[in-house]
Amino acid sequence: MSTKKITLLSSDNELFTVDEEAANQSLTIKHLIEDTEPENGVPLPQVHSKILAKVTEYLIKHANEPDNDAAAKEELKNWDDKFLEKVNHETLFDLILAANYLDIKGLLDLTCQTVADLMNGMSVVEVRKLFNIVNDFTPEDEAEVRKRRKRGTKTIGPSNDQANQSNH
Amino acid sequence: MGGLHLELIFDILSRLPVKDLLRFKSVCKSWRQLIADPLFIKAQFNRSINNDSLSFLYTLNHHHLYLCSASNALTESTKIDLTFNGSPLSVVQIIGSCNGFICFDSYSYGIIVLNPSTRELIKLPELPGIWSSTYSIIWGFGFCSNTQLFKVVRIVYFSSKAKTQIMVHTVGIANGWRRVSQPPPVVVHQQKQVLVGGVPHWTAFGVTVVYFDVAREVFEKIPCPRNESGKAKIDSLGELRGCLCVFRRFYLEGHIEIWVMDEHGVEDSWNRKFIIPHSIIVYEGNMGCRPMWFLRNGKILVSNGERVVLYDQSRQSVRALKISGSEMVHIESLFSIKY
Repeated sequence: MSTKKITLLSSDNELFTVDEEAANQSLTIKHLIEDTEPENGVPLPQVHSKILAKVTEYLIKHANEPDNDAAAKEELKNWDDKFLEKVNHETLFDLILAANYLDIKGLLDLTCQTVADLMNGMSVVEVRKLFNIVNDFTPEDEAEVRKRRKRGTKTIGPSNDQANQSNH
Repeated sequence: MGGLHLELIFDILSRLPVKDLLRFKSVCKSWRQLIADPLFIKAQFNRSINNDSLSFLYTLNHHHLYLCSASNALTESTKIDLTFNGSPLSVVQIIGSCNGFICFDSYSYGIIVLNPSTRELIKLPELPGIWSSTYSIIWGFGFCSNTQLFKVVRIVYFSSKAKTQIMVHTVGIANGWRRVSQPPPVVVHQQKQVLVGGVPHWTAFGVTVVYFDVAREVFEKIPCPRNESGKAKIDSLGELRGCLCVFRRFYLEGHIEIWVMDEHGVEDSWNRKFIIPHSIIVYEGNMGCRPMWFLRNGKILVSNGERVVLYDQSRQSVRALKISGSEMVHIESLFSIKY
């Protein structure tokens, strides 16, 4: 018995063929197939072949997720860890964007968690570099933050006179 | 590299611990705004609960508060800096930990509510003095999800006059302590509260559970699960992933049963979820035994009076945690007291 094959078309016109079951993990692809019934592959103009290759690799591996088999779950988890091991930061961020656009919950979860783990213990400067963020605080802003931090504990004192001095 | 939009930044940052987030407020203006957003704060806190990112809270020598992270093998205790207007604070007793805030009785400054992560500290108004020599006090610290307000309740039992006095304070609202006229339906005797869904629960002589309905400010009771013989008896309370649970020790059978109330307040929803052999959890000569946390992977953290052990049901084994103290579980948060 053969399963239905789905062809995906990357932004640079490369074709990828996967089983329908694997492709349906992406809600975007699933809806595109249902709505447009494309004949020459599902066009994914936002995803480059380099990224789509990784995405399809994930989709194929996760097509039949084990329900109650602890050993199989463990094996899949180890595969997930290895899957992103050698991926550089740029590809990792592109994978997040692709997982978000293609609406693949598992892959989005995995990639976001990988970035979060990467940030553990990082300095502010390292994080800016990782996310390509420009520091938009003025020196005055930063001085204010430092001042507030130095002041330490933010305390809110109540008005003691209002305490209910009721009898017993 | 295409920049990630704020929705994805939200997703990534909500997976980080509070300590990192406080630092990353300085990355840029949009991150600072995001990390202060109540929706973000809530999402981050809920994720911490789901990921078992917990700490143990305890006092040493009744002076200092310590937090011990349980997330990694190298457990590390941090002393919480306790000062109020420049003066050091002592800790007489910890009342409770709720949504990242700790409520404790300080020796000279009365009741303090503190978020140790953000260092937001609130000193509650003075309480009326207790003009009696024989009395006992029960404290509660809870959260009302409707109003998003914390409340502290104090029950005083005067043994000489068989009288009860109940005082309630809403944290962050400057109108002092209010009296609640209706005492608990049965006398509460357990000292420390157990929080379930923000609501303080106590046991009453091992046969009933009493809780303080934080929104309505009334006490209610819950009947305990019964044996085949009709006997109801509980040893300690706990919270199992949002549900009330009880530990019941059966000395003759040599085991502890954990019963969970799937639907709060509904007696028929008591279910026996675990049976743990006595011998592997309880240390010789030690009577106290209470659940501290139920992990997502099914393992249970149990305090046996001596230390905290991790019980693995599938392997029927325990492992003692290398921590120096543990009165209750605390989850760090970025929450702030609302006005």
